[in-house]
Amino acid sequence: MQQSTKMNRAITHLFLIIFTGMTLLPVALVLRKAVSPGKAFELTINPIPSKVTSEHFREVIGKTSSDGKWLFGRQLLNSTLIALGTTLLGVFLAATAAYAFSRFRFPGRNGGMMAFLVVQMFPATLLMIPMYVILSKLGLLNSILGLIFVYSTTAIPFCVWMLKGYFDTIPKELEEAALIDGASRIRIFYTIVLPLARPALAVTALFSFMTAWNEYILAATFLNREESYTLPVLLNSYVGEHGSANWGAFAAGAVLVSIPIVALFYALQKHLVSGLTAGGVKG
Amino acid sequence: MKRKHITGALLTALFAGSAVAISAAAVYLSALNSGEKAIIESPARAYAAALALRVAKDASPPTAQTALAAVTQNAKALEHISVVVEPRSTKYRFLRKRRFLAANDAKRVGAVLNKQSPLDKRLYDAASSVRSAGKPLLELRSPQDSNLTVLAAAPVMREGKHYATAIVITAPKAPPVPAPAWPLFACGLALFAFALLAALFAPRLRHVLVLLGVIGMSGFSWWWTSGVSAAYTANLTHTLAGLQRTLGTSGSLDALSASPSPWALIIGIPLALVISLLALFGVGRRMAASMAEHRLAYTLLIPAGLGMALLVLLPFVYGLALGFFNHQHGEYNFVGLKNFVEILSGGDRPLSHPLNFYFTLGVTVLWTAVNVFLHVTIGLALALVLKDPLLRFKGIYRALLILPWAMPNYITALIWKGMFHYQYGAVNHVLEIVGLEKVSWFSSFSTAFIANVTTNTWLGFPFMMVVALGALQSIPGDVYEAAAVDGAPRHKVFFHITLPLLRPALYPAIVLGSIWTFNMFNIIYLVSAGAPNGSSDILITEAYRWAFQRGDRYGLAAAYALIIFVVLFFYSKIANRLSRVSEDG
Amino acid sequence: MANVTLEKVVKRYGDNEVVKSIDLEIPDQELVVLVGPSGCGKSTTLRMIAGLEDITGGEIRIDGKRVNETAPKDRDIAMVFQSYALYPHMTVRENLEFGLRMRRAPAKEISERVEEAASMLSIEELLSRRPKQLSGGQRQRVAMGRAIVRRPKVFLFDEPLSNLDAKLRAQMRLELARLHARLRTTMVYVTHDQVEAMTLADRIVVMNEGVIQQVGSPLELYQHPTNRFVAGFLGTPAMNFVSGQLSSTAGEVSFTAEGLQIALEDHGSKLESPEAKEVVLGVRPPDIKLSPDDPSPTPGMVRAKVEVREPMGAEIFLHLDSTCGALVARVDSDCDYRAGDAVMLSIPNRAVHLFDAASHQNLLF
Ligand SMILES: Nc1ncnc2c1ncn2[C@@H]1O[C@H](COP(=O)(O)OP(=O)(O)O)[C@@H](O)[C@H]1O
Ligand SMILES: [Mg+2]
Repeated sequence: MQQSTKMNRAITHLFLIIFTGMTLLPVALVLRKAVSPGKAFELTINPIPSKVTSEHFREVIGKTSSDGKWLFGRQLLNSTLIALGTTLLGVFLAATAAYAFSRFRFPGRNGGMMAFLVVQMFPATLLMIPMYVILSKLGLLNSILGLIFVYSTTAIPFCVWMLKGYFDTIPKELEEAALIDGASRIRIFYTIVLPLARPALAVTALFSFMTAWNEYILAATFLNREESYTLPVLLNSYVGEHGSANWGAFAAGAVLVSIPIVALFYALQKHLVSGLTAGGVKG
Repeated sequence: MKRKHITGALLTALFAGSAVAISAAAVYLSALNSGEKAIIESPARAYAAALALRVAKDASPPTAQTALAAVTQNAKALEHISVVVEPRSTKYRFLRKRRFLAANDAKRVGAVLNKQSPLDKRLYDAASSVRSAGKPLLELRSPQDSNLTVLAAAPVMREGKHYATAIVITAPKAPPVPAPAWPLFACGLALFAFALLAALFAPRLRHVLVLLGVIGMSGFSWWWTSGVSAAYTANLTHTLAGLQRTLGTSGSLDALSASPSPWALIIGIPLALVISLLALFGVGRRMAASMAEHRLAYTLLIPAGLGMALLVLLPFVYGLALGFFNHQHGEYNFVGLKNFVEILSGGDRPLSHPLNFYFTLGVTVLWTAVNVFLHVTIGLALALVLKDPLLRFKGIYRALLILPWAMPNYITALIWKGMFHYQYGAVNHVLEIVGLEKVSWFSSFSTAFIANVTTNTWLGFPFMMVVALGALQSIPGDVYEAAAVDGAPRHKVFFHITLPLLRPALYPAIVLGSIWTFNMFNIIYLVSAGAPNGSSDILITEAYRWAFQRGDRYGLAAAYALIIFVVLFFYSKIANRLSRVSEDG
Repeated sequence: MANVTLEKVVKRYGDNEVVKSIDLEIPDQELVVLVGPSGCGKSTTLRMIAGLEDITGGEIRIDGKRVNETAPKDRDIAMVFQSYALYPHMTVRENLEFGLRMRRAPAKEISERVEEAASMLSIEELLSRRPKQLSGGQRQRVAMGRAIVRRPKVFLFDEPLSNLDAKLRAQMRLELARLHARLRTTMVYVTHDQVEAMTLADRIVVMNEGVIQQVGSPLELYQHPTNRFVAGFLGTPAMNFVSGQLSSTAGEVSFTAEGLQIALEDHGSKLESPEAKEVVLGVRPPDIKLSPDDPSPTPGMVRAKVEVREPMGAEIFLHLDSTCGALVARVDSDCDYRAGDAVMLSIPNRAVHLFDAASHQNLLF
């Protein structure tokens, strides 16, 4: 008995180690490429680099435009501003809407919720043409603000569903008690409801941030000046269809771009389970 | 008076007013779209083409001037300038001047083109284009000045040589509006005022007035359009007669057979009627009451609602509408269901052709099913292993295993694209180590599909793992204790206890996951890029290619999007029904 | 200090009328208990007083002032919820302070009042804890403290004790009674537990299906229920009911059921129309008299069999089976009838309640 459980455990660990290794391999290869010289991928799966260099990082970070402006800095700033703006705006929009859906019974509620669900099914990539037209009419092409609007609205439906699910689990009596205690509705929203919904808000923020930080197609379409690009657009230019692929620079860029988002992801991951299961996924 | 009533009255008036405005706008647009365009543009174009060809055929100065006079006399609706320009000398630079051979401004005949004048410059450019093309050209737009559109230009040949160029330019005036629309708007305004007053002081009268007004409006609209129609017909007849005289033929031109489109009226007037009926049944008042009652809820929804309406719903509707149009060279033409027919009929391609809709649909469904299956099985298996409270390092395993979820997915896609590279890719390297042949991953459908699925599986299993972990944690331990007491074997515990209890949490995740996978653009687009020959494309990348890589066919792409939407909508409906049935059962 | 008046108050959810035109006067300083079976509209009534539900019809006045349109925070009331509704992300102190802060009370006054309430409820040591770290009884005290610090005109309680175990509930009940004695503030207390109602109330309001059945002091209601519902609802074990006929022969009014006849000589004058009709006789378990089995019983006695004997300590409940149905009797603990014994039971004339079979109204009241 004792022997067999020990055996079982060892097998479990072996399985997990192999599987985790396989999962991490692509990441490890990118890390290796980022620090080894040369533009091409090497023909090996050994993740330990044979020679270490910082040339790719220097190339990516030091990139300048034809008239000598420092591009990487500009693009990093763009990406950061867009992601933060999207997070703030997205969380604000989703939280207010989700609260209304969760707490009030008003005509149009079911229709509205259905609409929020259904628009997710329309392929976002193909909303691009009309979005392009609308943004150009609003004069928001090539601007940070335009992308913030686009990202936060496309992230809304999922965030609203998740937050609504979480708000539903907050007892109504808490708000009634606060109402009797003399707090206004708005005040209740931000002193009682929002603090209690922190896990779900964290997940919402994470998703909004990821949407904005990682998106490539819309950014590539709506931005057409190099200095207004976001990092994904920059990154793709190293291995894009034109010219020969520079995998070294791509890998270095990928590492730089992934670090903040992975860090954020891990910082918030303990909320992931509770935020997700209480919220949207349970519906 | 109570505020509720006032708001109600305002809303009713708003309804009535917008009903009027909509029908007025509908009529106006229908006239503008078909009437004005046909009257102004088509005959002018026909004239110009005829004239240019005629002049080019005759090619002698007196005939050209006579033809010009005939046209000027007949085409009263047009302001146009017609000229014939001298050839330039190819030899001597100083002789490269062009002169008027004939012009509707007789004074200029024989004069040199003045390069300072935009009109003359345009003529000069047009002559150059015709010369280099060596054939008649229609509609050469000037990029700087849209007023100076060259409608037609034709080379004049003499003894087999380019002798001159006949050019017709219109400088269209502001299009003459068929009839002033202001009576309609005045009517609407009056109705608005009536509705407002009546709603405030005599709720019953309001209904009658709104109805009467709308009926009156509709009648008036019909009368007005028929006026526009008559004017149009008269103009057409006149134009045709003039043309026949000019050309000396009795043929009719296709361009002239257009008639005012009834669409705007067919849509506009019923819409107006529906809106007024709503107003009639007091929807306005009820809406006002409920708006007052639920003010806070609506206020909270406004920010998100506005954003969604502007940047999601509007594009969505625009996309729906686009599906019924054909887009070519910057112009949209209404084609009805043609795009859908083209897609759903397979577009004359055999079923095995990668661009056949059903082929792509099959690939998409297979892609979704395989991915979701792999995500769920791998995610669930890992969750079951990691659930064990006695397992050591499980926090570390978990943290490492969700890394693919945290990585930006376009980076993932590009990494895997590199890993599947024939020459340098790690995957082929592994195959070689194991002693197998290298595989050219993107040159056959099955291997390209496998590459895509591998990438997406790597990317997607952590989400399912986290959901399954969360769901497993919420299953109370005493259920397992009870099963243990009953002596159930492990696989039975899994299939009869764990799985049914997980279902409520997994089901929505699976539905959501399949919707995401169905529309997973990045992976297909970046990893296999549809290779070979678009066979590994799924519906959404296919649509993208139609829109941006195969001749800007926005209409067709939008039709694809609509079909994707319908498929997913019914899928989620059915899934919903199934989940309800399975939960009831 | 305030009185609360409900006048023809109606509450409808869609077509479902949950509260049906209630008239109620709650005098200043009294503790009034709304009691009734669950789903009868007690909470809805209380919530209308609090302002948490819109009033469909009628009027509610606090201190003579109409409050139908007044927001809850402006009604100067405090409410204790069944689930306590403590703010989970605040400490006990912050929970107590919240209401005063919202009203912008000066900091000094806030801390004074919090200390005072905390000592009144002996929760001083808990002030820095979070609700999650408290036991059920402690949470209950904090919830009451949150109401007390506000010094409202009216306290509203919605089943505040029903999440506690039996022992704690009895203890808190006592404490609540003390609190009321000390504060002398108007209190409206909702419960479905008639023991709580009887022990706490200055005045009980019995509700059923959205209608007030009777209002009165606990004793009044116990002794003179206006209808069969009130009679059956109050008292443990519940009143016994026997269906039968009322008949009058030669001026003598009597009740007849299967194997039972009771002459109602004392009550004859109270019965307005003493002609024959269907009635229900009610008798409380302690009023049933038992005697040893007698082969030739005197009129008015019925033979019954003891089915179950439930010793409760100071007393015993006997579940009896007789020709006129199943009955419960409450007897002293020295009574030695066992399960299976045959006994004779009789119902004293004075203990009889008589209800109309159709309208359920008390005929003797
Ligand atoms: N928001 C609501 N919508 C519809 N019906 C309700 C609502 N709240 C309560 N009810 C109904 O009103 C009735 C009375 O409820 P309530 O006052 O809570 O009863 P109780 O006396 O147990 O406190 C119940 O039948 C309940 O179903
Ligand atoms: Mg209740």
